Amino acid sequence: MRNVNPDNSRKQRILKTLIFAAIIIGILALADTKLRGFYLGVFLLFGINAIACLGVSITNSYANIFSLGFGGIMLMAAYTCVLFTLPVSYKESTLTLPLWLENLQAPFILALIVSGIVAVLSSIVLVLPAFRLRGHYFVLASMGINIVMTNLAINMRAYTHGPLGLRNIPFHTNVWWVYGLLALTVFFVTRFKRSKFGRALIAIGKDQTLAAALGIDVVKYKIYAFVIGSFIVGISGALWVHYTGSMHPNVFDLNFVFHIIAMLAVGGSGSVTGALLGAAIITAFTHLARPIQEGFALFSFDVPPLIGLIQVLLAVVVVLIMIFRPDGLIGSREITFNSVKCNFVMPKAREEEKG
Amino acid sequence: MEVLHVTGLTKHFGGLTAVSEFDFSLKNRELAGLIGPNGAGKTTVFNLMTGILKPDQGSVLFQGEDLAGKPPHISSNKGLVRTFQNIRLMSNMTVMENLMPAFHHRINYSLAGAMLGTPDFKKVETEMENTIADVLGKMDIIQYAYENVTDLPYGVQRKVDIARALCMNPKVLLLDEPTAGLNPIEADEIVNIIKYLNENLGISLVVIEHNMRVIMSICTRIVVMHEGSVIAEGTPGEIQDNPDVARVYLGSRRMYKAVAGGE
Repeated sequence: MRNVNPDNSRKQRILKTLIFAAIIIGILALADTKLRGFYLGVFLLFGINAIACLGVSITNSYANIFSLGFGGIMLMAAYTCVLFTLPVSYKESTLTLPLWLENLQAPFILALIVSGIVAVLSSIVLVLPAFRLRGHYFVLASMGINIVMTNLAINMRAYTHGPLGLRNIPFHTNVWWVYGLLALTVFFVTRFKRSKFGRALIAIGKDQTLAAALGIDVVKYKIYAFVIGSFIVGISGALWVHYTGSMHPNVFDLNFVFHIIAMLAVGGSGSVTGALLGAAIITAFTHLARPIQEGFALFSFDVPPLIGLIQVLLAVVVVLIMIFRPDGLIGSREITFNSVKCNFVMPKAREEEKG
Repeated sequence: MEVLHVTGLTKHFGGLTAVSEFDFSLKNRELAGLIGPNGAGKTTVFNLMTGILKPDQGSVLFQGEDLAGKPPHISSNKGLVRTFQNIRLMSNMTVMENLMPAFHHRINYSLAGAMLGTPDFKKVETEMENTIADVLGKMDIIQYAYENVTDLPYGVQRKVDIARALCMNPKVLLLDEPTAGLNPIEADEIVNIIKYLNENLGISLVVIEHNMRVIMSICTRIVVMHEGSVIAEGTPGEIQDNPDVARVYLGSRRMYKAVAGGE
């Protein structure tokens, strides 16, 4: 369905892409200058969550290896990144590090890349059970790995300061870092999905025996899936910790993991735009609807504060979507220029085409 | 010239011997049939030949190379391609998308090439789409190219399955019950396709089939299996007159008499 409009010449396409990019950059510049405090935070969190969703979708949606272990991988990546960027004096006073690490101050970009690589290396602990376990058994094993990583962070006090956590982390994350990396990730995953590599992963996800019979090296591609997915997820974790400015071992716990899974489930697994949509809906819902759990007056009726109401409502939303749209809001399809044009802008033209 | 030579293939599942000492050879451009009652081990033989199961003993020489025990993607990439009894199409994807992964081995570009959309990448992808259109045209199902496979009739799904195997450029094609679940008209279409593959494209085939009308009309040689071993081999005429074959399918005369009340 790539060429719905055959006289869409190359020049026109480039022009369209440029206009689209200009609009996006304009919106980002506006957000960068106008948004402050809470709303800027929500805007950044959407970007960070969206990157995490795209990374997770490579293993969980395309290759269909349902893993809950990415929280542990994000934790590893985030701690690595923090060790590279924390002020030397703070490291001296709170952590017991080797001298070279204590004096290390790296630029943010380098720290991000290294934390991505550490994420890939730590994903080995997920890859190994992925070849021996299937289905629910692997889900449980990966959940266990998540908890193991958290406990590791609690107990490795020399590097993580244990449950007391770390503060004074420089706020490197801004609109341009988050959305620049999000744009790169979207570009990468879209192209990946449409190449032979993505198709191989999808085939493995649908039916492993079939994929092998089609000449796809299942073992190799499962490793690829974890390498690529973990790298993206790790970068997202590193961005997150430089947005909040503080770090403790429980930030990427199962609660966080289930939020990301909910985003994929709501938006539609196996779709780039679906992941973005899901991330937008869940992030906006959990943050912007927060005032309702702090108590309000309804028709002279005082509703007391109900802390945790958001989590309950989120669960209700997810259950409703699972009942009425089990594949997520847009399933494995993609929202593109053409699909928007056919469905919303010019529905008449589409009907004429059909008839 | 032999393209496929299987000797002494044996497989045990626990205490059950699924296949024992299976010998088989296939000449270039030959069309052989593999029949036998349910549970005779026909599909297990296919699984052993393509590496989905590892044989306990024996060798699978394909064009002079031993494939026994190698992972399934190796044999597929060398040109020993199979289809499955229960079709195994990827649900909720179009016919086009179902055929694309079959080109995995034939197309080679790097990940970086795919990311940057190099001219080479575009050329290879266009060639792939053209080949798919060509294959679908041969099968006469090109009108379904962008349909969801789950919505298609069973007969068309069978053709898509064979088309997918054909996309892998096979030298030897192993078809596992290609006409199961089809009506006589659809079965005839599949028979014509099989004949076309064999005669016009020069593909050697091994066909597992329960439909005797189909197997007797297309095969030049038939192998009969029973409880894991070969009990007869020959032309369709010889197989039809073979008393052993009649016994495994219909039971012995004495058994028949006992059941029928004796005469």
